[in-house]
Amino acid sequence: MEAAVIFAVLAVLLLLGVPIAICLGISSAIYLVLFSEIPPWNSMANFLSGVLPNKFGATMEHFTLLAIPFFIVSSNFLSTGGVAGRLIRLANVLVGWMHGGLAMAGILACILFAAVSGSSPATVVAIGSIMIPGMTEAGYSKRFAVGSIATAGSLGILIPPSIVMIVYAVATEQSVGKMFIAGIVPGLLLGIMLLAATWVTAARKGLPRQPRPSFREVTTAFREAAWGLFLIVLVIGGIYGGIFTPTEAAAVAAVYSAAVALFIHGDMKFSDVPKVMLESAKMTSMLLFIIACAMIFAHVLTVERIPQSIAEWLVERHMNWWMFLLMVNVILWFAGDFMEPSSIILIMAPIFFPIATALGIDPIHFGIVMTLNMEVGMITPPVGLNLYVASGLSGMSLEEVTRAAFPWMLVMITALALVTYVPAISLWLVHLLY
Amino acid sequence: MPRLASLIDRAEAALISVMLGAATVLVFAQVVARYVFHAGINWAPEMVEYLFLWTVMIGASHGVRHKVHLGVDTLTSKLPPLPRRAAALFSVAVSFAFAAGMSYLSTLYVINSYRHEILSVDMGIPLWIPHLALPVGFAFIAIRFLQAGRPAASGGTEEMSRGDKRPDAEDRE
Repeated sequence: MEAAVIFAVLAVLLLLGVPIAICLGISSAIYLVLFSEIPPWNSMANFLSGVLPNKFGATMEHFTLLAIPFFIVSSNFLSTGGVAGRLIRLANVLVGWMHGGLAMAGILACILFAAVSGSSPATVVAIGSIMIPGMTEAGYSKRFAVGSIATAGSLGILIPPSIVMIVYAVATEQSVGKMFIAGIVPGLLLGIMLLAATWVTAARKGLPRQPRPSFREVTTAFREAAWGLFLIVLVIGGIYGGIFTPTEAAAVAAVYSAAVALFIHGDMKFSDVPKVMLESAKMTSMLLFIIACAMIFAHVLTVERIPQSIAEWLVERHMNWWMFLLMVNVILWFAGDFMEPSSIILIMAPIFFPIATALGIDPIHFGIVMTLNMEVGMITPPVGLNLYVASGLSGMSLEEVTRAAFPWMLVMITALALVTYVPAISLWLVHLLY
Repeated sequence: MPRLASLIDRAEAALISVMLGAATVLVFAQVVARYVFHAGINWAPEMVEYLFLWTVMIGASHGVRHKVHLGVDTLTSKLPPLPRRAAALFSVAVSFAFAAGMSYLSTLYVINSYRHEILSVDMGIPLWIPHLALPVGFAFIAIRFLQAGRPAASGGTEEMSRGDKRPDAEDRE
């Protein structure tokens, strides 16, 4: 029952609005002070000073994890510079002439931007700030516009590169490269499902289409977007081809995005650079500070074998892999409504991962399930992150945005069920390539 | 005093931006060195790690002032003023305690590393120098939380961590 204490303290602190990082750190410390049998009380400080600062500091010395700040820098340069706008133009000439053309283009633009950036809200902001006004001007209902972008924007964390996947890979000691490859098929599957749902709705409602672009327009759009699109090849190809590690790939992507924004597209001035760097540095410290505290938490769970005892308990009660995954789906969906994805992965992965492996679930598949699960959480009220970002962008109330996103949420839940219970969707490409 | 505070604030902002930029360029340079000059920069990964350690510690302290730290405000934002103020004060107190405790513990940790003359693997410098980021950073964080507690104590109801899901919270994961 000692394990219950650490979770209870964590839950109470979280609900009282204590910063997430502090909640994780202090509940671990309390647990160690109360239950650790190693030191007598008088050497507690020595014991704690050996565990806490060591674990905290070691996190920053985890080189793979440092891919995250570099991807943040890259993402910020891409959305500030003109890459997002060029990807939207490309998406527009490709699918704009179909039923509901502009909505289709918005979703496709989200898919493309997701493939160069690692974050969902960044995708919603980059694409939504241009597409939502554009769609309402073209005669779409605001609801339709906001719902589609808020949902498709969540692809940012499923289509590689993905900050959430790096967090999972580090927390569970899996390969970042494999996670990225495994995300491709589920990401495209969900993207295509969203496109199909939009097309069917648009055809039924008779939503506007745009004129078919000429061949020249298509090639021009491709040429303009090429600099942005090359980033996909650079990052995924570079990691898979063994040219560089994920961290190096991220740093190369950051320098490349900056160079494209400053020298090639010229949408950014040198005087904008300090602001982008400061924003990135703030986001980096916030995220890595949580991660470092979460590593202390994970360390305590591991040393005390808490997940293992839960796993044994579950196996004794004949829980099999799909019942466990169903439970994980529900818990993560619920958690995703209150916290942002990386924090949830950091809290939940150390608990669920040993159980999943004990039940014979593939670690990479499990990571994809968790990531996709986070996406559903991001568009679920009360506090789905993308809903808030979309409501901020569009000026619609949260209730309206929630209702707007609901039909798309059903599509996403279908995708989640498929990816969870058909492991081959995530693993097929991994097995083919590795 | 306000001028000094704003000076420190700007210095922190400049420092974390420059360190992040330096780390990015360093890793990029390492890749270039490997493929273009067929040479490694063997101290680069370690240097980058230390740059990040300092960036995160200073950035986290800077972040307390600018409310970038995430918390769950689902419950507290619905409370009436008085309990809400109590929750905010409690939150500040807990955060201060953690940061102060960590500062103390990491001081012991750094002293230990100083006594045993532990050296870093690649650069061969005494490890206590980069690790000084921990006690110094946590001390700064603790001070910042104390400052953040003042408005809460004097009647403000604002939470000191930013609610997770406000529109201005864009762009994080």
